Amino acid sequence: MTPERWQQIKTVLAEALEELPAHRSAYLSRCCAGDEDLRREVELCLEHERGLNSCFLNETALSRAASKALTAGSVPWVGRRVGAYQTIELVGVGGMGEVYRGFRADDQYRKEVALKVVRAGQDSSVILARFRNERQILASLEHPNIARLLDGGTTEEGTPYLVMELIEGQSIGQYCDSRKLSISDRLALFAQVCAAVQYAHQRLIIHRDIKPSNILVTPEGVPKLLDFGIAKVLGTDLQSQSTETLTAFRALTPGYASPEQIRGEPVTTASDVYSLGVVLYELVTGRSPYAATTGVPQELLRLICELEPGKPSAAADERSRDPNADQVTIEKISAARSTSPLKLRKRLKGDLDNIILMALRKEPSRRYASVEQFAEDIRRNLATLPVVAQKDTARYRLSKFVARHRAGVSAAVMVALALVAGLVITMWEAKLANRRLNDVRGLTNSLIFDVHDSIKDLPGSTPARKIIVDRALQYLNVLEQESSGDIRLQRELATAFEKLGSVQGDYLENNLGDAKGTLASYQRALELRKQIDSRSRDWNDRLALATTYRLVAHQQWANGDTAGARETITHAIQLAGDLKKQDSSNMKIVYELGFDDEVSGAIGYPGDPQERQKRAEDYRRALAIDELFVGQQPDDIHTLYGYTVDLSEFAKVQETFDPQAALVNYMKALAIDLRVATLSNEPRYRRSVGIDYLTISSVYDDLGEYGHAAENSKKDLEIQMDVVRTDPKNVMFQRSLAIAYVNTAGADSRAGNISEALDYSNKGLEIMRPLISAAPEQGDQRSLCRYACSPWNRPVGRKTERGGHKRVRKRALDLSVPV
Amino acid sequence: MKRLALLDARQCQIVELRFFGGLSIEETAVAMDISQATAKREWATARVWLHRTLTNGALAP
Repeated sequence: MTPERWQQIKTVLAEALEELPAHRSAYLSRCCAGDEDLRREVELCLEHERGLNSCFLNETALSRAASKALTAGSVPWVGRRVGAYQTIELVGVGGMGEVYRGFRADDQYRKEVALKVVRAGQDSSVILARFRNERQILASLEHPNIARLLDGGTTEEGTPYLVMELIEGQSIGQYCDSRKLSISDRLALFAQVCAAVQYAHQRLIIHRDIKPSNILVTPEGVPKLLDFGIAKVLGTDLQSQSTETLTAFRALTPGYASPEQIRGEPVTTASDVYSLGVVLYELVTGRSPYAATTGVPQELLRLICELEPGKPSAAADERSRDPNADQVTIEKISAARSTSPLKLRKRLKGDLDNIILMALRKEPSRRYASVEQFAEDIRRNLATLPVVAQKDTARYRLSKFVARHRAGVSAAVMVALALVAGLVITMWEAKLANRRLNDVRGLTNSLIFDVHDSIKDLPGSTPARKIIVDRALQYLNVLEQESSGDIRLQRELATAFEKLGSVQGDYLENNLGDAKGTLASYQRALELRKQIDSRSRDWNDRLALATTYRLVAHQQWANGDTAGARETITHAIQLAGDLKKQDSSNMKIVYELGFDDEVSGAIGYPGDPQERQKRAEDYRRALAIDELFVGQQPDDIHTLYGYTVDLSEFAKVQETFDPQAALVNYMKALAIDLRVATLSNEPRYRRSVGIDYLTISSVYDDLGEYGHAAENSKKDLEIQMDVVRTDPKNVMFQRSLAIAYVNTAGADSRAGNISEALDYSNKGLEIMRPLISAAPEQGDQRSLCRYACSPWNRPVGRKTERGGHKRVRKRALDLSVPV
Repeated sequence: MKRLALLDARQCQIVELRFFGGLSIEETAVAMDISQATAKREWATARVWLHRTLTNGALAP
């Protein structure tokens, strides 16, 4: 049948279905005149329609599969051998299979265990594979309130089973009701449960299926959490499940699942916070937060995702909304809590309402950031202290407002930034546990770079940036402890530390001024890289080690430890040099070696008499590599710019023993910088052209060629004036302009242009005056003013100009001395 | 279902939403941005087609 034919049949069929059966025949004669085949098709369909059971497809797949799974025939295995265990009696039947009491058959102590036989669900090999993955982690959970996972495997028939510590007790709800525990006693018990969950979260394990039947309380009153992480092993964690059977399981106990679990979104620690919230809601009110459900699973699922649950105090107040479904009266509920309805309502109203509803928020990021915080609020409530949870109003609305008006006042910006940081951190925290250390680099990038970079240029963002960096460091610390032996994770971590370091205080970046922090981070990256390199045979790891050595060396030098820097950079050069011997055409290696030489040149050779020659050699090597790259990418701004930086640095060293040769190299750098400035409009490239002119001017000045010196200095002056015009408020630009004025004044005075020189000096000082009063503590600005005096310390020029000298000199001296 | 998808993708989607997703006719109409009458007609004919296919095998060529 073709789609076109089906469209024809469908149209006629739909019309026919709407006719009364008695009229259908006449209708078909009319419609299908001349197309007997069409008529036969439609009639056949109509016959089928008559044979249709009203249930056919009208009952949804979900409920069918659910009931099928529940009734799936399973013969109890009492008294038989399961792996190394012997079952004694059936103690429970759940969605996934049965739970037996048993003991280890070959164990002389006959310690009793719980055996969970997994009947339904996924392919047993998948379960087994997951179990093997998780077993180490789950077995590491040793907490008095967590039932331990002891063993697992498959039977001869291939049915998977799990062996757990056997807990004899009642579910937490039954336990509390049977002992008529007061609200405070219930809260105290619940806080113990939270501590157990928190313990697991710290080990980056999420329960995923917290519900009262998974929280047993022993007769001694010790709560025990069952099935930690089992949902993940069994694949019932509601994540990415789309098969029919699993959809059914989703519907079996959906009352405690969080909205994100129902939507199939990533499960996080916040999901456990939510489930704990539902458990607490029921413990104190005796009702479900979604009491108004019709019992249709998909209806409940929808409510969980959409309906804001009512206040617990109000729930305890309500007469049952559905008298048939829920016979428990508020009197009975109060009595089970050794209190009266009125007192119960009073106890719940306010703080407890807020605490529980905060745990139950739809958006994971707006719940408690951790189970610990949730438990802390409960403890504070028990101690009648103020709690953190607030009604979902002021702060939330404020945050929304600020988020909308982020560009507004800087104070509002700060609040928004703090919130963004908090949010990202919560997400990060949750994800860590969830994905268990995976994607560390992605997360670090998003924290240190996406968030940090998006705010770093906003005025006043430094405190928020510091918070971000501090938090990132905290998480990296945790990760580092977990990373031993995991080479992939160590690589990610090392990269993360390097990136963190660059933000903290690497002066090449827009940094936070924490130079010591940078060095510490780089050094930790170095430790990791060393460990990685000792176990890896990959040259990429060795190259990365060289890079990290270079970063550390450069930062040591920037922090004033020249000797340490020299020692460190030798390692980098050694490693990169060895690599280059193995593969001389590899550009990554060649480039790294260039960087190493450059840093080596910058650091110098403390205590070495041949120091200058060695530095010049380093720069020569770096330049050779730069030239290689310039040849390959003659129009790449970064390559060209990197080349001129090295060229100028080289010339600076050269200047001390061969000023003429240095001058040639400075001019070469100038020519390239001029070209770069035509390729990009960024002011920094124009400024560097200016600085080239300034440098050339000072070399001429040293050579005694004052005319050339003044000429070049004026070119710098022109450029700096232009640059200031592009951004008149930029302090850095203003300072460069002042330097240009002062320098030109010096060169002009030596060239004999006294009155012009005086004028330049005055202009330079005019610019400096407001800068100095804005930042009186900055010594470099004062030094510049002292430098402005120097042409006028001795009388020069004609007598008529001498008064000018004195005034300028006094002005400059006044500015250069702190008040 | 695959055969239905080849024959009529929209109808197949309606069956998915109704049977597997548990949506009502009204919700299906909203979800697919079609009128309720259309959703109802498509659903009714799809049920017939599926029944015929599942019980008899394929429709006559």
